[in-house]
Amino acid sequence: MGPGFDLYTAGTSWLHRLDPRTKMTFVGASFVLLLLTGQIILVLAYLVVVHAVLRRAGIPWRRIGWLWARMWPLTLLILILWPLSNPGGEPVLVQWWWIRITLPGIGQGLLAGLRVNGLAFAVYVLLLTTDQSGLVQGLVGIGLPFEWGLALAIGLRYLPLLLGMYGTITDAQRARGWTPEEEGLVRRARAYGPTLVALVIGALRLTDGLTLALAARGFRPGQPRTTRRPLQLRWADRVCLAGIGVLTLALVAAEWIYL
Amino acid sequence: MAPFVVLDDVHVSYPSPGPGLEAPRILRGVSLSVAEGECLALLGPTGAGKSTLCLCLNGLIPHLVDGTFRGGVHIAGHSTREWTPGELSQTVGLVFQDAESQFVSMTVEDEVAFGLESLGLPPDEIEGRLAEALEVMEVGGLRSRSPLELSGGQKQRVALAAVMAMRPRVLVLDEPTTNLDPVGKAALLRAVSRLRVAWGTTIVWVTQDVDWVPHLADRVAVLWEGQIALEGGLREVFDQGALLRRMGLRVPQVRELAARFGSTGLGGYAWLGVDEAAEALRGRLGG
Repeated sequence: MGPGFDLYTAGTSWLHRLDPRTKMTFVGASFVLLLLTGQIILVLAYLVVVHAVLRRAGIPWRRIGWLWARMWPLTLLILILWPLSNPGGEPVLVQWWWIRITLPGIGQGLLAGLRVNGLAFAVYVLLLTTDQSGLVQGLVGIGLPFEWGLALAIGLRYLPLLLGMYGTITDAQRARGWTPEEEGLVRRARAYGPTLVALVIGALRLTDGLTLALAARGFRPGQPRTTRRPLQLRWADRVCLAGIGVLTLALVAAEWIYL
Repeated sequence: MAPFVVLDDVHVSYPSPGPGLEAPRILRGVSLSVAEGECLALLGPTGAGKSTLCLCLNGLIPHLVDGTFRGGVHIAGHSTREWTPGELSQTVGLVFQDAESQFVSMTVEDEVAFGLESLGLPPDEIEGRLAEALEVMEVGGLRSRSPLELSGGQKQRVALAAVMAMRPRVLVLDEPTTNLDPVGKAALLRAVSRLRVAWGTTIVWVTQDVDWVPHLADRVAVLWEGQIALEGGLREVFDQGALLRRMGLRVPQVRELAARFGSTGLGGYAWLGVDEAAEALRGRLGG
């Protein structure tokens, strides 16, 4: 498995130390800006700044590259499909049968592809520099019930376990002569049926065990809890929040007035 | 000493698995008591009802698990019917067989702190208890590691630390050594032994590792088809080798060796531990 479902990269940088709520505000502001702007250059600039920030926070290029590799198939799909499904505008670059590709179509595809990566990297900034406990606390801090945060955290925690379980089940089936890759697509899909049944049963058992374990450790839904590291907005957070606020307002105003 | 944990004629049945099928009766009138500070080893073959008994001790049965519950379980004089599992978690700690399936956090320290946060303790106290539990279980060096990356023995010690940080007066261990190698088993049992000394915890230890029982247990009870078939001191129970074998169990190997010595006319020994056997043999051989 690659870096896994927990993207957190341990560190003590200024970005790691920021309050999760500040980083969540950054994610929200990024979404507003990226969805609002129609300028490729702005989205590109955003991505460059985010990468610089991540590097400054000590996130290795390898981890960033791994994330790009995960995003690449979707980006490619957008770059191909967008110009095909948006044939309007001039100049026309390709006109063959029903296919019509225009320069504005390619430009819009490029913008959509970069925008998707921008949105993803906004979330990665949060996930790469906030540990699970901080993430849950941050979500609770912005008003979500603790149970929702815990469900998310448990989901992240259990995905590798479920993948491991799936690997064990398929290995056991293969040891008994199961070779789905030799079948056609439909037969292969059918062949996976019993494997998925075993996986669902295993997942239900895990859930049962987890419910008992949570109750045995004093967890009661809806009951007040304390936290070992209470959230605290420090000076750096206030400065960042102010910066995010001013920049967002300025860019929204610029989009509205000039573009 | 007054009994601290009392099971009084406990019956548990799970819901019927289907129409027309009988509801499985798991416990059929279990009566048992454990004194404060005592360690009771609970032996029994697979399917005897050991795990169900563990769930009764911390109130998960009858509060959370479906089924029928009759009889009574009393901890420190209070019925488990009166307390919710959340309230009971401060008195009875349960460590499950599969430590991994009870972890909810990405780091060891968050895992150990989870229960303390659920209890609503202030941050300073959480930090204090966290550090103490990690130290007693000798997992302090693993604080920032993911529980998933640890060895089986380390995972069990982290699970134990998570439970012990809540400072329960009774610790229930449901076959915690099942998936461990000998080194992991030894480390875990040393840790349990240390916390017994440090905190005087009452322990109910469900196990099939009979060779390790003499290292920790004061008394032994044998659960067989949902009932207590044997109960008493270590020698008293392990003297019943033939009966234990009929129930699919065995006596510690050292005790077996002593019995073989006796049957070949080399003396009437009843060793339970290696040290005891070595001492006796040294005496006999004049070493």
